[in-house]
Amino acid sequence: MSKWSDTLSETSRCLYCDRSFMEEVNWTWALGLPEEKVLCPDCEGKLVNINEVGCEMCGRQVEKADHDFVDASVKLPATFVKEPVTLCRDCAKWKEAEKGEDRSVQQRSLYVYNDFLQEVMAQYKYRGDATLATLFSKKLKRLTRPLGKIDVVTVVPLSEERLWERGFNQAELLAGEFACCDVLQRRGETAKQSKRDRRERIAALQGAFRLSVEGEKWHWAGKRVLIIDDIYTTGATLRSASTVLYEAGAEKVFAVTVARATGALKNNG
Amino acid sequence: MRFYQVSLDDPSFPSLYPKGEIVTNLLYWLIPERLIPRDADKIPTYPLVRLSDIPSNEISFPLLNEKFQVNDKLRNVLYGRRLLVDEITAHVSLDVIHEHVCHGVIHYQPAITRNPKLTCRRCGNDDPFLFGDISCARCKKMCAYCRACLMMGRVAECSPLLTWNEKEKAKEKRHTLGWKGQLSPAQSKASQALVNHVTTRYKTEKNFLIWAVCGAGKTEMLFAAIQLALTKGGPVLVATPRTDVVLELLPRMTEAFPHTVVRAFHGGVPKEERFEQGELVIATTHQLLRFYRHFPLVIIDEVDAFPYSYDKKLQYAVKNARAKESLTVYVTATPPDNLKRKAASGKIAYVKVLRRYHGHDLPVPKQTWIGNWKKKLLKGNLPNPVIEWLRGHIANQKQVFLFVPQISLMEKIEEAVRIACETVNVETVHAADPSRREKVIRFREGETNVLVTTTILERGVTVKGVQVGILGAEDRIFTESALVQISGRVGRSPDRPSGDVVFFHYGKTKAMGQAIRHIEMMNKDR
Repeated sequence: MSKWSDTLSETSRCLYCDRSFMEEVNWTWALGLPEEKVLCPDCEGKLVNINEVGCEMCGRQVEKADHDFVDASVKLPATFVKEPVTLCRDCAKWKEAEKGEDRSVQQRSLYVYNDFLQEVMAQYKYRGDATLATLFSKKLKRLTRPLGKIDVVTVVPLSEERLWERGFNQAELLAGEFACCDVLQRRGETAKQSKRDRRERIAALQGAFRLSVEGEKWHWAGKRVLIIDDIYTTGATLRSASTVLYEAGAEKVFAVTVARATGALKNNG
Repeated sequence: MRFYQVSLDDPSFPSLYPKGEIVTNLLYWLIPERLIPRDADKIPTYPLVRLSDIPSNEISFPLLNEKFQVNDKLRNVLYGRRLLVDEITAHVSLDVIHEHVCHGVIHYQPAITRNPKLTCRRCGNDDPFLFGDISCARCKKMCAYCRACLMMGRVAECSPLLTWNEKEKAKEKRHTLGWKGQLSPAQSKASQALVNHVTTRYKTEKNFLIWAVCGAGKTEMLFAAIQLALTKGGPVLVATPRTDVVLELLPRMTEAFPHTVVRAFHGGVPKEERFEQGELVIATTHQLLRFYRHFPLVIIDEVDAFPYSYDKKLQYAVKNARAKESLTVYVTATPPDNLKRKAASGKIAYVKVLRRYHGHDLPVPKQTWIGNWKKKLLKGNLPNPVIEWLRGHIANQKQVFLFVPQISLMEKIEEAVRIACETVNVETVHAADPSRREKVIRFREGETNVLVTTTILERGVTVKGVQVGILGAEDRIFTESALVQISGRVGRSPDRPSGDVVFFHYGKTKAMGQAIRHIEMMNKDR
């Protein structure tokens, strides 16, 4: 039996758990602007948006008071800002190490890297469910809106071995909504970041990247660059990649990622 | 991945294929792109193709070279299986694989076909929603991949599936039966019927149904037939839907067949052990997907435990795992309708075992109305009949399974039981519970009095003298077969053949009535 109300709501299948669900009808439908829902309400509900950050640079979210990285009383909107002022301990340390040279990367993430998102990312990256990129690609685009003009969009590259293993670059698919250029390239082999601790990560990535053949051709002076990646943990990958760009003459480097890990979740790749 | 199609008499890659006469209809060599170094002076000008792009009548392989010395490690991994390249390269390198292909020992098949519709050859998935499409780094093209069997390693359009083409000469080996128990008359009747079927040489794929009540002693009925099939030289597969059942069967089978290599495969098996060879294999249905034309005897335990939608997948997996000439045995207490119909119309041979092995009747469930129990539960209370029932059994030192329809209610129920019956050990288990195994063990050892569980424990788990209550038996999840199975948990041991099964409900359902009639019918029908 078909009811008139059936025409209002269609059943869709959740891209993650494959269960059927009914799309909720709200005013966007009446206006003809419905956003296509790809996750069922259950899965959608397990994704935690980052709405407030404690550090304007790395976009670290406000955690419980026992965490000593960020002053827990600071709550700032999670959008990109013109001049990052409030910094977390990590970013302050980095700034000190730069000795006046501006090598900063303002970074924002979509979601908190919780257990659920860890599972989703594992299915995406390691099991190779590339279609899941569509969950995030539009949202990443929206996240970069406040940045204004961006000259170059690029992604963190994979080594050839890893690219063969996975069959795709997970960051490149996330950047599907951008016109993305491969201006970076990896130098030699590096082990998986997710298998390392913080110190090892940073050490391993010193000089891990260089400009690719295409990147060499570019005129970098004054360029505003956006890097897209999947997960931000210590920021070592992004720092290493952005150093190359700054050295080439880029004016400013920004980054967006899907997930922001804070060390609260044990990282076991 | 891609292959170079190299013509048969090209001398530029002498190390990459054997020289000499090849008696076959081979059209060209297929050389994996990765085997030819990027900076080779002579990068071949031959076409670079995916296996799935070659018309199927053009895919051919060299004849099997009998004198070729096969790599034992590779053989161990691939024999009787159908695997992805990535699953094998963890054990041996690509050039070893290629060498075996050149000598006709390994054959390739495209993993995904588009004709007549997009289908994954490994798992049989043909639902367009469960395929993804990416620009693939391995074949540099748009490449479909199967999302349905992703957890077993990604099957992409450009990936080849590898099979072992060498036939093993039947080995003479004695397989002794270590089980020294006595079969009941009903059991031995079924056992004999099954043995007769195994004895007759099966020329095609044959099926057999054993319809046996819960607690009939199904596993023991199978022993004789398994021993016979093993002695005939073929590996035997016991497939079941749940990891719990695999883990429960493994020690019993190992004990029953002390001189046989028994292997268990399920999702939790560590990587190194995932590709071992076994003479008697116990596996979850997912793991069946890795086997290919291997087993002359396949036993599927608890066929009905699969949701209806799963039926097609199971059929596909079994079809691929069994040998061309094989016998498939379905063992169940509650056959699904299609099997019942086939049995009734004579399309499938079957035997019924309607007595438990200790000869007592199955306990018939009672029904008790408990009103709107969910509302009560929100206030932290259990309905009075449930409290009284629980208190009664706890006072008698009896253990209780309390089945509930939803995981989300479990915590509240656990708390309510704890308040209602003081000095009681309550625990909860559900499918996603990480410590589920330990909790079941604790219950089995009698440390826990009440175990609140979802339907995951409806079958395969045997605990002596347990009582069963179903809170919210009206829920849709409790189908006829689920209710029959759950009721079958009670009174399984000969020294405590009776017990209590109660459906606590808020409105009787059709399924409840059917389940009770089913059990009564089984008791009457001798």
